Amino acid sequence: MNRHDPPPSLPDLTPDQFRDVFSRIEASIHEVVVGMDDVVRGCLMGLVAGGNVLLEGVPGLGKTLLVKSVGDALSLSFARIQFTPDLMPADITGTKLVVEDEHGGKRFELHRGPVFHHVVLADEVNRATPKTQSAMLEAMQERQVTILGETLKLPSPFFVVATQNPLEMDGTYPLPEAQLDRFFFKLQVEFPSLDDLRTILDRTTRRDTPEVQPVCDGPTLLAMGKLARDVMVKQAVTDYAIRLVLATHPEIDGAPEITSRYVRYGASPRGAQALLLAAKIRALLEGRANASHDDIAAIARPALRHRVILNFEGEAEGIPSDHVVEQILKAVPR
Amino acid sequence: MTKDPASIAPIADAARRAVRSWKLQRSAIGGMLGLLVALHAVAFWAVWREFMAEAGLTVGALLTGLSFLLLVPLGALVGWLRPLPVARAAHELDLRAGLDDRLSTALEFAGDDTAMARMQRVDAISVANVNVPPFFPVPWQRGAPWLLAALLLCLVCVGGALTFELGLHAPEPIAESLAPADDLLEAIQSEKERLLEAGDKAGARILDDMAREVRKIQVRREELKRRIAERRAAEPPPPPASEEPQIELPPPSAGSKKSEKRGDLITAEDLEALEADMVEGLEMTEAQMGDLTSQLFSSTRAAKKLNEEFHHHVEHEMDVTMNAQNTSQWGTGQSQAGKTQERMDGMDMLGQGAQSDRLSSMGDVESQGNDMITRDLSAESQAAHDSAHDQQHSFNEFLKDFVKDMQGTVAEAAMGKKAKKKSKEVQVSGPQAMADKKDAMAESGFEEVGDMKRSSGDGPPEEPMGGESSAPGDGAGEPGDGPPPDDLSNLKSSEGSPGEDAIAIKAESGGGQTSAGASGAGTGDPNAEGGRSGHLAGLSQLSGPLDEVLGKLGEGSLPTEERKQLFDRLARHKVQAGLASEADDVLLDYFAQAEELIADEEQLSPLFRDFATLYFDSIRPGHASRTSSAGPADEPPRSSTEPAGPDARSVP
Repeated sequence: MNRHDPPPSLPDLTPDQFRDVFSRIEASIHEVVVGMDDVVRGCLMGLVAGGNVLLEGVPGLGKTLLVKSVGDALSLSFARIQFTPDLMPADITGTKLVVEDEHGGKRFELHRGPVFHHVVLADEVNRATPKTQSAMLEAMQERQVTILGETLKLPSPFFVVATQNPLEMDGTYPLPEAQLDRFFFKLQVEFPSLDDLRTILDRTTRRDTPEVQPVCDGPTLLAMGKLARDVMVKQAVTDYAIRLVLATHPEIDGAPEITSRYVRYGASPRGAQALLLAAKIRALLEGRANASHDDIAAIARPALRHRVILNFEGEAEGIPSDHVVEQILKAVPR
Repeated sequence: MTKDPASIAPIADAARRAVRSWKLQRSAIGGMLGLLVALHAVAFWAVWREFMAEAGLTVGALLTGLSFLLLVPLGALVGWLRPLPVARAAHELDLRAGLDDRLSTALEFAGDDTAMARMQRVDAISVANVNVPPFFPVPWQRGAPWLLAALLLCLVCVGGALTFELGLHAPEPIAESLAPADDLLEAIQSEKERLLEAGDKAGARILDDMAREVRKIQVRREELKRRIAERRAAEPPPPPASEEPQIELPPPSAGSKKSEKRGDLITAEDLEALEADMVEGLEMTEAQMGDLTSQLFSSTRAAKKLNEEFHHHVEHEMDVTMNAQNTSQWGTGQSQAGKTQERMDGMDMLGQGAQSDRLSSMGDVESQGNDMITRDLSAESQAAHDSAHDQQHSFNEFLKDFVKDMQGTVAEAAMGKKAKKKSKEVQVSGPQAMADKKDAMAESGFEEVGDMKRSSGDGPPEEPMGGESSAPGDGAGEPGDGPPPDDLSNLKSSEGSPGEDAIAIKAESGGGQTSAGASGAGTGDPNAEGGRSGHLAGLSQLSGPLDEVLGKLGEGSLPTEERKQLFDRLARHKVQAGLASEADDVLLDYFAQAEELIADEEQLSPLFRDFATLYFDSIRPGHASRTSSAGPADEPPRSSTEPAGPDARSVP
């Protein structure tokens, strides 16, 4: 089967199978990636939900390794794009070149860019110009790109993992809010703990370095996403997600005090979608067929932290977005 | 989609158990709240009955207060009967038992037959056998301290009220501690003895009650007097005197003495308050009230009689004194009789005051009478003082009018500036202009008396400004648009005496003998613009350009550029109207005065000389060249047809 073609049919999975496959993927990735349990799970949840993930962390923490391991574990193609200021949109999407055939004639030939892979790592995405960054918008949201007037579908599943360095901000172009909103999750990659670091050193300094074994394929991943959407969510849980999203908007009556004070504007409906989808996946992972309030609360931080845009006062006082989300979780009753 | 109630039976059963447990919890909380409120109510009830109600706390009253305990079952009932949906209870059980919304989701999707819904129901049923009551506990631990505290408070209040007699609700009279009161008590006692001798014990008891009430009144009276004295001692001192001219007032007469309050007197208001208080606290029969009232009136009549005797005595003493001073130089017998009558009136007023203060009558009236004796014995000096006071009073009235008039003049700053200019205009006008002015003033009701101009009293008092005094076509007759007022400087610059003449004019014009200018101004205040504008009402031929110049420039609100344009326009166009010479005179005089003022160090500090010079230069028209300090009167008048060329203007 061509890796770029969609599967003809998806296998039916049960919640138990879902949990089993998910666990195997996690275990396979952890063969290489040490620690980062939440990051790995978040990446996989985004992948199952069909979303994209933004990783934020200092260099050298294994972000690229993680994304590559995800691709390997899922038997999906992987491409890495190093974003630099001189990167052009055509470097991402591809372009048409004039080539000469064997008969001496000349014609245009499409050269696909690295975006035509299942798993794309946009490394240090904030170093490219907004024009280049926006080239990723169509790919991330529409799952298609347009090259010289020709629209091409991207392979399915398609998963973009972007990284950005929170420290070196000189010469960078912070992602616009519209592009941030297109990421399903924003995950913080923390420095490894002592034990994790010891394990990293042990694994990477031996003669035989571990490799990720593929445990899943694209169709199975899509079936997992389909199953996740069938999870039961009662109205009260949906309302809770909506109230959380509304509580991130300072202009709405009854917004929490921290929102009114530090937030410029809040999450979009995509935020509510991410909350609900991730809650469903988490419910399946917890062995339930229904999403609960706890599921919503558990994934509120990665789903909302990049959608809560702080105002000047919040930026000046260094209020973390996670703190705002936590306060909102406390303020909104279940 | 088929609904299968049987499949959710365990879930629904769990939800119903949650409903029952939750209602029990609510009932227990409601009962505790009811008990808390009831205990506090009983405690308050006991305290109120003991210290506020007359009957005190009795066992019957306590039983009535304990009826508040009915709030306990009432609170429990409310807690049980409050509606509680099953879905709400299932949701609450999910939250409290940590079931991750399994039960409530299963109930909500009870009719859903999809595979995922079936799996969810199976999952929910697996946890539906949860033991519900522990998740809806009665918060005894949280409510017990409050209940215990309320119970303790209740016991203390009820027990204290039943045990101790503090006597606060039945104070005993303390009349015994006071000095033997008045003859009313003696009268009551004598009457009581008479009744006892006659064998009327019931009447004696009534008199005993009456005597008790009288003692109460005496006690309250003393208390009231004490409070009045304390209040007057705490009153703030009188406010400081104002900065206006102080008029030395004569010493208060006998009549004014009545208006003063003495700290040791009970006034009519105090007596009314005392009576109101007394009546409020009294519980007397009709007969007792009638007897008491009769005694009070008899006491008042006695006081009044004594006052009248004292009054005659004082009158006699005054007659003796007046006969001795009949040859005095300060008054005739008639005037002395008048003063005597005045003092007698004062005495009458004093007598009425004493009559109104009937309960505190005798000693107070006597002290007042002593004061009057002292004052009447010096009637001679009093007459002299009254005479001086009359003179001083009339002078003060005159002085107040004068100050008021001057204040009005000063307050009209713009008008004052106009008046200054107009007075100089009178000076610089030629003989013909002065003659015209006199004619106009004579027409408008002014007559020349000696060296000052006085408004004749028989002039046309209600002639409008636009009538015979104002020239046709000018705007002098419009209200507020008349010529600016003349002031004392104008008269001073002629020959009259400064103060009196000016005042005489103002007094007459302000006294309703309105001149043409006054009535033309149309203002009700005779001391304001209209009252003074009549002095120059005859200069009507100048009023058009004069008003234009003085009115706008005098207000100072015209910007510099517009001001220059105004002068230029005046110089260019008013020449053709035949009014240029008068207007030029005004302008020249205006700047001559300005130069004089600038040169005078008493008028303007040298520090501001450059600024003032620059200012006047900025508004100086082209033809009004700088003059010497000798003033424009030394300059030959311009021809009425002489144009003022633009090149002659000096623009700063």
